[in-house]
Amino acid sequence: MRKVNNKKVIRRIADKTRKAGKKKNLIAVLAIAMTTVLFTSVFTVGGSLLEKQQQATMRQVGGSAHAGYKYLTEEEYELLAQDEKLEEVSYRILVGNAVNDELKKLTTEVSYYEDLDARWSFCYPVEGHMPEAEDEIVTSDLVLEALGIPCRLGESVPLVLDVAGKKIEKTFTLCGWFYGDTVAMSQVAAVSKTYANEVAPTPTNSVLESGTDASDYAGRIMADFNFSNSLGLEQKTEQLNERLGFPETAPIGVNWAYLGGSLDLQTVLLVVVLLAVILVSGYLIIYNIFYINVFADIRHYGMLKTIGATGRQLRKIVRRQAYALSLYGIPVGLVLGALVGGGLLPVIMSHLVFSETTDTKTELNFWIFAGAALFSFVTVYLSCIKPCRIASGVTPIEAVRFTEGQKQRPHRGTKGVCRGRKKAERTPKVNSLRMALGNIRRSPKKVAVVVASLSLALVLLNSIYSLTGGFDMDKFASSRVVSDFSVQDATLDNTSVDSFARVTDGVTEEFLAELSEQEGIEESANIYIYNHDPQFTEADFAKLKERILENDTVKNELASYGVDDEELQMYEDMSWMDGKVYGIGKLVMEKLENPQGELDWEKFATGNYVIATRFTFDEGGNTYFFQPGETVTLFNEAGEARQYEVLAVADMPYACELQVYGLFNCDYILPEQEFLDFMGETQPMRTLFNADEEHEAQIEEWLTSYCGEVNQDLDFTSKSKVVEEFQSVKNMYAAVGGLLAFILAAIGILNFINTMMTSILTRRQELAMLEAVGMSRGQQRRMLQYEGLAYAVLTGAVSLLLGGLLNATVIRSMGSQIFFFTWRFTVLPVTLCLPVLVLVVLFVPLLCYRSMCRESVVERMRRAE
Amino acid sequence: MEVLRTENLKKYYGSSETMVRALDGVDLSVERGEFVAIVGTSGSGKSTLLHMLGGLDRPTSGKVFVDGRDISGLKEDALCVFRRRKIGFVFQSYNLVPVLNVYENIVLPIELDGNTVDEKYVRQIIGILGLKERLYALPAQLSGGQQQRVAIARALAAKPAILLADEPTGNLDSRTSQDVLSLLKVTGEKFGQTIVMITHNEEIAQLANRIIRIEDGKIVKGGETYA
Repeated sequence: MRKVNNKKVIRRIADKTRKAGKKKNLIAVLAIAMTTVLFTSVFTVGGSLLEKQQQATMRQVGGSAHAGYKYLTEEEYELLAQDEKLEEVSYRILVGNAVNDELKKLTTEVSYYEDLDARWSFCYPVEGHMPEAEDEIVTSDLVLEALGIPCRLGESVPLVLDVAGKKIEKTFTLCGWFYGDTVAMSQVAAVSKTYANEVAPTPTNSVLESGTDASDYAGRIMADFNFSNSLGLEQKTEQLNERLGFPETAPIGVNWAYLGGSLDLQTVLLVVVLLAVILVSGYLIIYNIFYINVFADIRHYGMLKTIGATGRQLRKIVRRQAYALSLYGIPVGLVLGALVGGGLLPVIMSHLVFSETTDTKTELNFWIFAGAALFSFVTVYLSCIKPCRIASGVTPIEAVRFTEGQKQRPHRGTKGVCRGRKKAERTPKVNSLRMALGNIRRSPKKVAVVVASLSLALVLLNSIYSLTGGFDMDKFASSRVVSDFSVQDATLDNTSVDSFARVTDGVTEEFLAELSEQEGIEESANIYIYNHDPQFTEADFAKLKERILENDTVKNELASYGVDDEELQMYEDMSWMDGKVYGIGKLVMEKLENPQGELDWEKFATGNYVIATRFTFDEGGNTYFFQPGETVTLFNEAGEARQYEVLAVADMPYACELQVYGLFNCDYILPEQEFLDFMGETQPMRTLFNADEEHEAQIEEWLTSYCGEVNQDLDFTSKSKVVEEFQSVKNMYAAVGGLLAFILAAIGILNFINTMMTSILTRRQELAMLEAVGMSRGQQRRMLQYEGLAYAVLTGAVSLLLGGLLNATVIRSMGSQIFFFTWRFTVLPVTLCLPVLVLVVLFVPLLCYRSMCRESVVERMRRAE
Repeated sequence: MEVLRTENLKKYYGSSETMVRALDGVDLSVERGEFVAIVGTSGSGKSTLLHMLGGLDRPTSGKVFVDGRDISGLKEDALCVFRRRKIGFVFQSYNLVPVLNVYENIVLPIELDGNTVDEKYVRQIIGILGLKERLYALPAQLSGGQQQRVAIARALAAKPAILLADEPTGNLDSRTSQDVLSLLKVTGEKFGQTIVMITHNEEIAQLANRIIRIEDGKIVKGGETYA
């Protein structure tokens, strides 16, 4: 084939065509920009969250290197350092732990660090230098604070070191410090290489194969390294291990931060759905714009074809116009989208677990913009496929004769047409409404696209509203507090703290003493816990065996947690079942949930009764360990036994219990006096109290200052804090969803405006002719408004139907995942938006028509010839 | 009886140097039932004259009387109502409403006016114009000649004072042109309809009772011929 250089002329035609339609372009650019805004904000928020989470994990792990080996000898390290595929390698030598009494709560690891490794481990000093002299040390402000030493260079730092089981006392000189991280698993201190070699010389025996334990860590080399990039780290480390000839058991570890394990399927699905929604809405408008434009210019394309342009060239002309418009729309969208994303990020972040550990600054990088731009561009590309095909497939004759809506009719077969028309005969009155309906039927596709575009926003709005409207304050609050205030150790309800590390007797006597001095406390109660699995008498366990271990419901429930018969047999053999004993005050007893039997405090407080609980995993709540009226025997730590009668069966409220669970949770609840008498004196796990309204604010203030300054180990929850939290969760959903719906609505309305405008413009001769034969302007305006109304009616019908359907299905099932959600059927937002929509569809045609009427009838008619 | 009269009708486009005098003092009178052809070359001002007569455009100065009423002072919507009651148009490009069928197109001006259709009269016109078979077809399913016959029927349906035809055969081949024109003439005669037609085609103009020639916006003196 001969190569013809016609690029230039194609380009010129495309550019000229584009420049001829300034108004149309503005709408197209706006549409592309809005689509890009949506993509960019999603990418900005998503990208930033991933990045933040990675940072948070790194800080928790205490390192940013891709991976590392533990416990190497010098020889092994040399081998590693020479590997060519590693970008950077560095190491530290483990010396031991600092075990001063002051550091009991703050595990502090002492090592010698290379400079690079210190940076990777976030312990490079912000002031001072890395240790050089034998007695120099660098550590964090947190460690120094715990030791009671100011962050000043030259201070003496006396430490007790545990080096391979040997206690060594030494006073170091502070030569540098850095900001410690409360979320890190352990604190670190860096000493000089001289000192490390002196007290913990690197052993020469390899432990790669045999493994090792704490007695042998001292002096071993902890190597960290980076590959050229962080993709496929697990595979890369495996290959590295093979290359080095290390055994498979070698202690090599990939930094969790790079594993992205936090991306669960649900999140991925949500993001995919979100991107799909944006893509579809973008497609609907951009496609419609180009579809309409191509039809408006169809004579132009037909003419080009007459004079010899090929279909391919016409396609290129259309495509080039689209690309040129993207060139304006996408950058604008990127900038606006980044701003929107930056605004949303803090709102979203404030509800994520790791938000406390990091800032909310937007992480803008190249990939976010590249991704958003790519998605927007793909949307534009997809939107153009059909319009391009139309332009390239046009035959010159058709193009010249073309008026919209005539093309498909003959294809449908005359029968259908005749039938349709015969019906018309019976109601032969031609009026504005009938003509409008006829016009609407001319291009059902265009109508479908606009209606879909408008409905998308309404349906989304409806769904968001249903979701946030279903958020149930009472359910939310009752999961957090059952009283006005609740005080407990800060670790108790912190899900990021290991369950065994939670303090279950944290409410101090000092606090209780101060509490009793406060004015306005109406009632208060304590919750104590004895967190050891109960012992059972033979008779008691026989009941449990029959009711629980041999119960098919229980077996089925437990099977879904991977518990098989064999394991159940083990429980039976050992007469074992997990559980706790609570000691509660009156206030708490009144809050016990789903009581079966009479909860009478007078009776309960005598100390002769116990309240039993239910098997938690049975959702029906019908599996009892013990029935009211039965007698059970409890044992304390010393092995003493006491008999109680079961007063009732009830559930501890979530907000009151220790939120750590076993398999069976055979819990007992005793009144507090009896509990302390039998289980021994201890401090409460929680203290609950109510205040009168007058003093509520004052007490909240006192608690804030007490837990913030006097005893930082304590934490409090209050009704008002919970209400605030609830509001902000709700606001987050509302803000994110509302914004999305708003932009989609803007896209939908823009789509409508564009459709109406072009439909009026392309019909200007027809309208002029109608005016010539006597259709007054008022009648024409009414006709156009009826057309607009038809869009509104269709949109209303579709949104009500789809919105209601989604509300009853998707939202309902999504809501069931949220514990504080109560489902309600609603299409209120759609109903509220419809009047607004009606106003828009009545108003827009008027504007378009007026701008058209600036030309006289004769001028408009002349265009036809 | 006089049904249409113009007095010193002028229409100027643009201003000062670029001013175009499309009509430059036209005095014209048409009797009821007359079939008048206005002939002129392209740019002579004949289309402008027709637009003035039909109330589609306003004159710069001068007056147009239709049925004894001066229409040059009417407001936009009043003009529109006037048009649908008094004037029937037939355009070169048919100008039918694509979404309406033949019958609906024909009765459109009547129904826009909110009047009941004179069924008998309309059926008669439809019969004469040979459209009975295609009454429920859409314009796109008709040939050019058929479409123009529908346009004529539409123009006649409202029993207008005047039927204005603007190059009615401009888009038709010569045989179809003859058919359409003779139908126009026949129906005009049958219903006593006044017809003013503009054309550049002398041969077609010969069908009229009177031919008026127009050049440079003026009626050529002594150019009138009577059949």
